[in-house]
Amino acid sequence: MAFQVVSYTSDAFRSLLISLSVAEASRVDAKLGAGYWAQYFAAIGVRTIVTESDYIDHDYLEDFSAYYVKCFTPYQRICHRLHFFTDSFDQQGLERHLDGESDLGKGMLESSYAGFMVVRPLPNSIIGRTCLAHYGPDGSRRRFPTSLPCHAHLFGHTLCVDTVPFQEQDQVTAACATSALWSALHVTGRRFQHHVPTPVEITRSATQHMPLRSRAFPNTDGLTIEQMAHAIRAVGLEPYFVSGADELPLRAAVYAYVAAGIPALLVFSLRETAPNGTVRDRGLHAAAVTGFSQPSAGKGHGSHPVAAFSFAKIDKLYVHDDQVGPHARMALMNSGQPGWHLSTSWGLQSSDAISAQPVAVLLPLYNKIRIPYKPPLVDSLNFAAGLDGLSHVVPGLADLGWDFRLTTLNQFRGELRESPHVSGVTRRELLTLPLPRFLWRATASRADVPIVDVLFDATDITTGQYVRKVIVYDAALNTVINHVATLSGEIPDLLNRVFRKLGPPAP
Amino acid sequence: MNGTQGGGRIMSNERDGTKTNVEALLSQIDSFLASPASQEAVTDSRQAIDSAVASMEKAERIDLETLKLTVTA
Repeated sequence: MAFQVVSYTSDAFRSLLISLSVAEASRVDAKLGAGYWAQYFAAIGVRTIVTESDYIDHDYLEDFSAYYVKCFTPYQRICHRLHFFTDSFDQQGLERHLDGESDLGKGMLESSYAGFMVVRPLPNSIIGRTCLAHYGPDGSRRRFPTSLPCHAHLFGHTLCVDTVPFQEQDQVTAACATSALWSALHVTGRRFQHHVPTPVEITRSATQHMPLRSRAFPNTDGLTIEQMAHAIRAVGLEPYFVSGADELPLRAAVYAYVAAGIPALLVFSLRETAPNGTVRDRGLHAAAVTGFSQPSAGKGHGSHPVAAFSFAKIDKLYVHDDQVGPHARMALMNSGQPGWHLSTSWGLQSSDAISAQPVAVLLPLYNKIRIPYKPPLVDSLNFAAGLDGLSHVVPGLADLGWDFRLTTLNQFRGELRESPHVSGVTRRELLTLPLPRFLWRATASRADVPIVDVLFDATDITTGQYVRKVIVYDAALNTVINHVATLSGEIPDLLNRVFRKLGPPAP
Repeated sequence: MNGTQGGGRIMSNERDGTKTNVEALLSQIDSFLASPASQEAVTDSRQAIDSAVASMEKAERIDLETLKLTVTA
């Protein structure tokens, strides 16, 4: 049968994985045991699965040709694919639709598409390329800025889901670091137009100039953080490291780049706490950060002005963790305290006392994103402190919320064009203002109404005049801020951290 | 900006309909900035920024030993 339509239940999903792969039931049960997949499918509302037999998957085919085809065991090269839908329909309904006798609800397949999963014909690592819809926004709490449209074709239908591709490591051509890199490079490949390497290509490029302690294939030794950086260089991007030891830089850097749609690679140490309190190190693990959660209520982490910035309000990261699943939650625990860490569902089937201690964040950046997050963020913090100081006499400046992130000229103009709060000559001037392709943008707003925007040239040099524009949307406030900047004292000095770096008009 | 009223410039904010006497506000600001209260108003913020900068600078200096750690789990 070329296809099969199955009503979704966790048991039906389990049975399909067993029947379509060559994995033993016990291995599939171990994979699904922690319940993440069942919880995930329930969260995105999956009701129907359509199986697509004999599917050729590019990534698996590369792995197959590099390794599996040369094994004595006759591993198969053909995969199967499961498609997930949020509407209910049955075998007969889809057959009649394909016969041309029914339209199955006009556009139902397209509108209810929740993504797909490639099932690899392997004995253990059966979850291949998987593109599943991310969690819903829950108001505006959850955001997945790294998601991109992923297309699938099924029986003449072009289906689409916004997400980041996911797959589990096979421990032969890829380890967890490879899987995380693979997911991240899928996104950067689309954003920065570079070749998207397959898992085997990532492992090869990572180990080319920095040999492992052991052999590259089978890749049981994993990759070093340095090798992960080398794999990023191999596609023409620049790796940028941030230590994960302190909470503030981790929050600020992850938010600044992920909000711009660039996935962060999070490397963390897994620590298991025994009932008697002893801590056992379970090794380093890597995951790709795809999004974050920011509750609208509540105070941000830290003191003012840090707490006023949106990165301070993050309470969870969403990561592609190949040992857990797509968009898995990692909550920030004991925030602001010495024992802060992230929660993880890694190893949940064996222990519920495993936590994640961040070690490093690795960012795959386009070479023209030269100025890292720190210099413009420090200037923005000073500017925010200056405006907050002025709020003692200018009520309109009290309790501003700040958003600091990387953006592109097109994103900036697009957001400006859609903003109901900017109009007239100001809007036209800003839409036509010559600016570089990559910008750091610090926006102060109150109740979602922008008050001030500071634009920094991310392609410039930090010692230069890299502030491109200070936009004060209110005319009275603009007069006030410009007046204060001409004076001397603590508050003018804070504002002038930005004004002093204001570059000349673009040629 | 929309003309004068009571001896000072009046600016109307088209977005929220509020009106501001700019001269009066600037004079208030000048007095505030000349007072010790303006310095006190940003003391805590200065300290928070210093602490944030120190933390970010530390995060930039990732040591070479960390880079050689193997990600295996």
